[in-house]
Order: sequence, then structure tokens, then C-alpha cells
Amino acid sequence: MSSDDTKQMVETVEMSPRAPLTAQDGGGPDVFRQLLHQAVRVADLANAQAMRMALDFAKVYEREQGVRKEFETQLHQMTLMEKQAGRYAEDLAQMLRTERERRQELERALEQERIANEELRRTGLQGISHLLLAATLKDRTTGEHLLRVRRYVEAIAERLGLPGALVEEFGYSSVMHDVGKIHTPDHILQAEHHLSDAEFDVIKQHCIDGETMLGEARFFETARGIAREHHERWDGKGYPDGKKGEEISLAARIVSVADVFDALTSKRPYKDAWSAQAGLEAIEKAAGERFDPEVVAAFVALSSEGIVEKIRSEVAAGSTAQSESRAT
Amino acid sequence: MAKLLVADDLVPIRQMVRITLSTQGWTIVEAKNGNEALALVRSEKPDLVLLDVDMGPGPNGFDVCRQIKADEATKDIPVVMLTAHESDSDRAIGFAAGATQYLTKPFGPLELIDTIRGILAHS
Repeated sequence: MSSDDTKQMVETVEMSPRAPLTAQDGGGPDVFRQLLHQAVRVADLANAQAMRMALDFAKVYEREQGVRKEFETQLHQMTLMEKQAGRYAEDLAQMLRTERERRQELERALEQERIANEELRRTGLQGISHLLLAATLKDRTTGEHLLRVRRYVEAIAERLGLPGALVEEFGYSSVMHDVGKIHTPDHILQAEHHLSDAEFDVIKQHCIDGETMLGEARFFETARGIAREHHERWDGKGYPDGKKGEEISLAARIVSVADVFDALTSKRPYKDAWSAQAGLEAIEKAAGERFDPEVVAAFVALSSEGIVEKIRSEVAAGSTAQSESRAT
Repeated sequence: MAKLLVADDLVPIRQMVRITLSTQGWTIVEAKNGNEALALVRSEKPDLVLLDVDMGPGPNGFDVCRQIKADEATKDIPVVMLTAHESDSDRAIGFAAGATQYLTKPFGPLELIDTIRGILAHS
């Protein structure tokens, strides 16, 4: 059915079906025909109307279906995304948990390592103090020498602006600079005559022996450098390797100054003790030749502030107090 | 650095995949339907292709996979199906089309990364 037909029928229904009936009231078969005709028209009309409504309904239904399908698709996608997001969140939460556990484990391991390190350090330091005690018991001179050298070294390192941990490490490591001498025969160590070449070779060996004796541990790394290099010279004329300038470790360059200064200002079998002033002048003169000029400058500064003198008197008083307390 | 193509009609899925995979330093190329995916596979020559199955009009993921595998120039590019179709028969279709792996949605980021990493390590 075309839309024109529909339109016409809809218009037709607006005309009153009774109008022609009243006009020809009382007619015979004509009336019947007319009535029949009228009934057919009304039926046609009703049919068309039903058709029209069905069409309209179909259109609306189709549209509704479309909208519904669209919503269903969107709903489906949203459900999918919701699941997807949930899965991601779960995974991420799991990752964070694992990460946290791993970090805690790492922290525990670090803490244990720190404790182990601390213990190792304590053991090392204890070993060193035993060494110092052994040296002091053998003869007081050596013990005091080591104490003063350590204090000088720490003061110089601090003056050079090194961090506290390094100052401490340089200090305790300096105590072992001559451990290699344990192998050097006493008659050469205490010789009052000028050493022969052969004897001097034996003396040189103490640097190498010292480094070897201090093993492989990280704790003694600085000490090994000091033992090996504390007789090297800034100008390269030292022993045992003839290293020069900054080839020599800073710790060894510092110990060298402290060791020589203390040797000069102490009494030895072959010489009297020099005054602090004379010792300092000798050190200053050797700056840039035997010694690192920066280390010498730091030491001179310490001396002018009276710190060198203070260390000397404190170590002397300390060891006197110690020997007195041992005597009582 | 590996270049990956991800084909999916849903923007948020493509974003999720891109963000996830970019953490591995991989470059991501995106396609929103089957035809776009095929064109990009040919022009970009990615090291791996991730395919959704239902991507609106045009060839679906299985079709795209078959076409990649039928082309001499692209047949060695590994394909990973990434779809909500989780039935065994769909899996069978995917593998028959030439897919190297078959992941179902919702997928986890680690699963996605591990799968791709494994495939890239072998190719």
C-alpha cells in the first residue's frame, strides 16, 4: 500500500458515515447496497488504520531495537573494560606487594651485612690494639711512636678536609706501617753504624713484607698501601718501588711526614732527639722533594696552632700514667 | 628496539596495551580495525602483531592473521591474539590461522609483557 492511499483513507474517515444514510432514509435495496458499500469502506478504513499503526509500531520497534543493541554493545564493552581494569589493578597490587617484600628482604640483608661488617671492623681494630700493645710491651719507645704517628696522621687528614670515616681509617691503618719489621733482624734495626747495601736491602724488604702480612681483607687495604709506600718519596727517589707524586697513596704520603717528624724528634740509639722546631724545619725543607707539599703545609699549619706540641705532650703523659698505673 | 602493532577497536584497550608495553622500551603502533591493521603491517613491518578478534566492520582478527601469514613479506611476523573469545574452539581457530600465542581478555600486564618478551627472544 502506498502512502498516498493511506493518506486518502485517513481523510475519508473524517467524513461522517451517517450523512448519506439519513439523506436516503427508507430506501429499498439501494439502501442496503449503500449500507454494504458503507460497511466495506469502513472495514477498508479500519484495515488501513491497523496497517498504518502496525507500520508505525514496526518503525518504533526497529529504532528501539537499534538503541538497545547499541546499549548492549556498550554494556558489553564496559563489562570487558571493567574486568580488564580489575585484572590490571590485581596485577599491579601483586607487583607492589612483591616489590615491598623484596625491599624488606634487601633491607634485612643489608642490616645483616652492616652488623657483620661492624663486627669485622671491631675485630680488626682489636687486632690493631693488640699489635700496638705488643709493640709497647717490647719497648715503650715503639709504642709511643706509633701512638704519636697515629695522632699526627689523624690531625693532618682532618686538616686536609677528609671525611671522618677516612680520617679514622687513615689513623688506625697508620699504626701498622712497620709491621713488616717483624722480619727484620734486630741487629740491623738497631745498628748504630751506616748500613751496608746488603743491610739496606733487608731494610727495604720490610715494606713489602708488611703489605703481604696485611693479607687481602678490605679492612686493611689502606694499611697495605701505607706499609708498602711509607718510604716512597714525592720526587720518586724512595723505596721499594720508586713511585712518585700522586702514584703514592695519600695515606702513605701523610704517614711519611708523621713518621719522619716523629723519628727526628725522638731519641734513637744513633742520635739525640731533635727539638720540634728543628724537626719541623727539616720537614718543611723537604716539601716537594721527599714529601707532598700539601701534606707538609697542613702539618706546618697544625704545628703553628700548637696541635703537634699538644699531641706530643698528651702521648707522653698518657704513657706515663699508664706505666704508673701498671706499677701500682 | 622492537616495534609492535596493536589492533583493537576499543580505545581504552589500546591505551592499556600501549602504556604497558612502553614500559619495556618498545615502540607501539595502533590500528583500530582489521583493514588498518593489515595496511600498517605492510607499511611498518612491526616485530610482532597483537590482534583483537572483533573489531567492527571489515576483516576480524582471525582474517587479519590469515592474511599476514599468507603474504610472503609478512608471514614471519609473530602474531598474538588478544581477545575475549576464550573457548577452545576459538583458540583452535586462532592457532589454525597462524597465531603464535593466544591471550584472553582480561589480560594481566605481566602476562602480556612476559609473553611478548618470550616470543621476541626466540625470533
